[in-house]
Amino acid sequence: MNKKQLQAGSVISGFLFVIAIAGLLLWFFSSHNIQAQADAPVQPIEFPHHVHSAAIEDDGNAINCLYCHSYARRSPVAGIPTLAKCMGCHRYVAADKERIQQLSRYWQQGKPIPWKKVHDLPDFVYFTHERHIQRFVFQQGQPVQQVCGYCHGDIKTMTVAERRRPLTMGWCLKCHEQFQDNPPGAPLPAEDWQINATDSSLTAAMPVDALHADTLRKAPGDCWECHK
Amino acid sequence: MSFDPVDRRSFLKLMGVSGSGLFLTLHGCGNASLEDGKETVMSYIDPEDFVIPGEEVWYATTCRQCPAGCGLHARIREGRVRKLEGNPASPINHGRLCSMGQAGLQLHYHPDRLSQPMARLDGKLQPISWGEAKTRLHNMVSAATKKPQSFALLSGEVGGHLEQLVDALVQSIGGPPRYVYETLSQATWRTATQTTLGVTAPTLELSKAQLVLSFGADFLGPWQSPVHFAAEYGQFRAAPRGSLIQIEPKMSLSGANADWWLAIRPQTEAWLALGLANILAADSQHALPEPVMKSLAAYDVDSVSKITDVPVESIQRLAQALRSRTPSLVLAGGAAEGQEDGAQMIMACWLLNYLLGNIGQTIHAGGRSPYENLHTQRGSTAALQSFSKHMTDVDTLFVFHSNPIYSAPDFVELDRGFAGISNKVVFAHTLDETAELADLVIPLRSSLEEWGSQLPGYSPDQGLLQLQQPVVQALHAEQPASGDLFLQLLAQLDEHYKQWPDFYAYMRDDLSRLRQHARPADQLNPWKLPAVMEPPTYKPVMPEQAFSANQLDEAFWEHTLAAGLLHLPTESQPLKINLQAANLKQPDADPAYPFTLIPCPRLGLYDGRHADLPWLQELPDQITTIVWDSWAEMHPETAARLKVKTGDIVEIKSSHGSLRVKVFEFEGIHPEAVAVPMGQGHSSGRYAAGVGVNPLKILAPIFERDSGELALYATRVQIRPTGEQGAVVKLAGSDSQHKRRLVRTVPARLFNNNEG
Repeated sequence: MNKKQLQAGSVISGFLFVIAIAGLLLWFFSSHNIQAQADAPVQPIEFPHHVHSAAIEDDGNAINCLYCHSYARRSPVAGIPTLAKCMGCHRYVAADKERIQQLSRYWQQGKPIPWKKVHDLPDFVYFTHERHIQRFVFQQGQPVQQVCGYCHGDIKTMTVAERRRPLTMGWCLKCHEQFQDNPPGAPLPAEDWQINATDSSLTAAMPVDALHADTLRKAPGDCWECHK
Repeated sequence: MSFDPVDRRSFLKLMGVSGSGLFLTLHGCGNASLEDGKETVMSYIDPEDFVIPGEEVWYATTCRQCPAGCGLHARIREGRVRKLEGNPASPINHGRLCSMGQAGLQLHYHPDRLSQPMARLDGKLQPISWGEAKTRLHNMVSAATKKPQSFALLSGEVGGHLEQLVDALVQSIGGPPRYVYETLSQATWRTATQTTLGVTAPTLELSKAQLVLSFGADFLGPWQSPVHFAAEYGQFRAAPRGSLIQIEPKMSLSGANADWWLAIRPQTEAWLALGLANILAADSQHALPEPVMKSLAAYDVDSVSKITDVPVESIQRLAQALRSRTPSLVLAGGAAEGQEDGAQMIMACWLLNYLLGNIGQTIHAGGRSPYENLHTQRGSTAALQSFSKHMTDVDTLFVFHSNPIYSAPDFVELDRGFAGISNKVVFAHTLDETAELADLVIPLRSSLEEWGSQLPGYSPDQGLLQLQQPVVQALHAEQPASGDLFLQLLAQLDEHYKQWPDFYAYMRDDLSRLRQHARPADQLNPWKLPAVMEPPTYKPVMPEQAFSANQLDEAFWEHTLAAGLLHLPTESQPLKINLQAANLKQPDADPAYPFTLIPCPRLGLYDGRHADLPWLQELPDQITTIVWDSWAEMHPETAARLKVKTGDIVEIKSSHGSLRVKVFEFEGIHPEAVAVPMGQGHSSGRYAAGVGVNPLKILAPIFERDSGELALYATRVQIRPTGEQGAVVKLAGSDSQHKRRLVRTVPARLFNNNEG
């Protein structure tokens, strides 16, 4: 083997090595549910989710997520609660706190609060809250915090909301594909998309229901379903 | 090929860098679009219960892109209007909407829409505050009352309750009546129809006709009510299929859809109509008055053929078709109407309909309008002419919803007259040609932000009033609605108008008064709403007695707004027939100006008002498929005679001006005509300026004899090649199949035989 052959061999083996690394990384990303976590953005008011949604015994107020995010069950977007709704309680509750006074100033000026989006899907993705909430909460009776937590993480432990799930296409599909190999009645694999709900009985894996087995386990295998 | 030596250290470095790069790339790919904390999401403050982000809400309103007044449904999401559709409950457009209507959105969101009033300071238009603008307006109105004849108001068609206020202002000041100017006016049609039938807008039922003969009336284009007649045309063509014959010097969109299209020498349509009447009168069951019968004798088939350039056999065939297929409908408009003898052409059209027995079959009087206090003064070009005569007396001029500096022909010398007026107030959406010359510019809200009402330009039902409501909050919140502004100006002069706090209250007050005329059934279960519109929870289910007057009023108002229209019963009225003897003047042949200029209007740019909307510039011309340009349509024979071809630039010269434009060879035009489309040639407007030419500018001062309308299609021109060339940008690649027989055609007779 002369020097030139040696050099060519080194470059080729270099390329092969890079491809091998790429393969490894691809496998790693596709088979592991990476808990992508972004820093919480700076919000105009430092909204304490834990104060609102944590259990009473944990010094919270155990408010149902859907009380404030009331559009989630009726619309593709969950929406931000209206200022009128915030003020409904905070005219009286904790009115002396600095954050509530900030809120009152917006209300008095009649200006909306410019919240920063935390869970911002790309524009080419169609995701509907309504379908998920209707299915899990209203048809199956799963606890609201658990259902919201699948995608938003354990909000009751956060102050300003932050993204705890990757919300990538592979991550969405990973959840939907779980139903494909499980017959009705079989327990769903309790993976890390479940959260530690307030009530410990709620962390038990939900069984696959007949409806899922028949319809949802095929969903969504069609690009058009989400990329309209 | 040679390589530099690679040692182990460099190799590992390379691998490290590539690996990290790959890791970052892969890691980045998955989250490339997830940008936490970058976008803002605004919360509502205190929305209505039915407002849900992500969910659409539809409101009914009325289109104001042309005078047809189609019903609209506007789709709103998150407080923004996203899409306009036709209102299925409207008898004008039956849920359909044309391209101009769709482009109403672009006017609403136009980047150059004025948000602040402007005043001329140091010779330049500069933004001023609304407070100052209102003070100036009030001062001008006060000053005008002291010298009423020096005040004038020039507008386009306004209509409805706003028109009441605008006219009331003019009356309170005491100035001359409002000048209502529309380039594409139907004034000659209305005058002649009023004389002949006793009504201005008879109901025309294309759908019931077996045969439609149209002299230049482009009912699929901008004639009268484009969407309504397109729907009527659809029914007319459904089995049993009606036949359409179109006679005109330049093929219109309706002409392109005709079974038989006949090119006629420009300005001679009335001759052919009277020639046909002469043939049909001989064996018609409907007798003609003696003077009319006598006058028809002059229009024998041979001389008519000679004058019109239509072969004798074709005229005979036309007469035969009209005799054999009844009921039929004869229409006239466009180039046939815009002549010195336009009124006689319209009368000849009614004469033919009378002879064929169409009156009462496909032509009806339409009911008497129940809206006695609401009246739309229809526009005309004669109004511009009379304004220009009085221009020197005017000190204060209000221009409202009109752009006369663009559309007035040069011979009117409007810009010179404008310069002599000391206070020119222009109400406009953007800085158009007229607004640029103004001393005070008052921005207009878009029609999607204002209350209003509209009696449609053509309506099959005179009991219809289209309602306009603000479907979104004004983009520029401080900008007052024109109704509010006029009400404030009026209240300054007349105490009576102080009782209404705003235009909404004024309009609702008047409409509530009309409730008693509505049928009880209409009040409780009023309009056939589409499923998406029907609000079950709002629907009053109790009997009428259970409502107090206020509740009934509220229910009536809610339903009226949800429907987007009010519909009151009408009294029927008879049609009178008053036929008059024909007396046509033969057009002079001037060898110096051998061609007739046809400034053809089209759906899209209309009379030029939509040229600054890029959707409509981008929309190909329906016949030539040319975009973003002007062109001179001429017959290939004419082009060969002038030694020019498509793309060559020619100079078209009339006695009053000239323009340079590219040639487009087209067989659908008479060899003695040259057509330049209307709508281009603007000097202002982000999208309109510098595109094409304006054929209206070179029109000669020729007027219709009865109505005084400008004869739009009577200007004679000469054409001179310039030797320069340009490119015609069009969508269609080629007009010819190049003998490849891609689309095969057979005569209808053979086709019917083959089908057995």
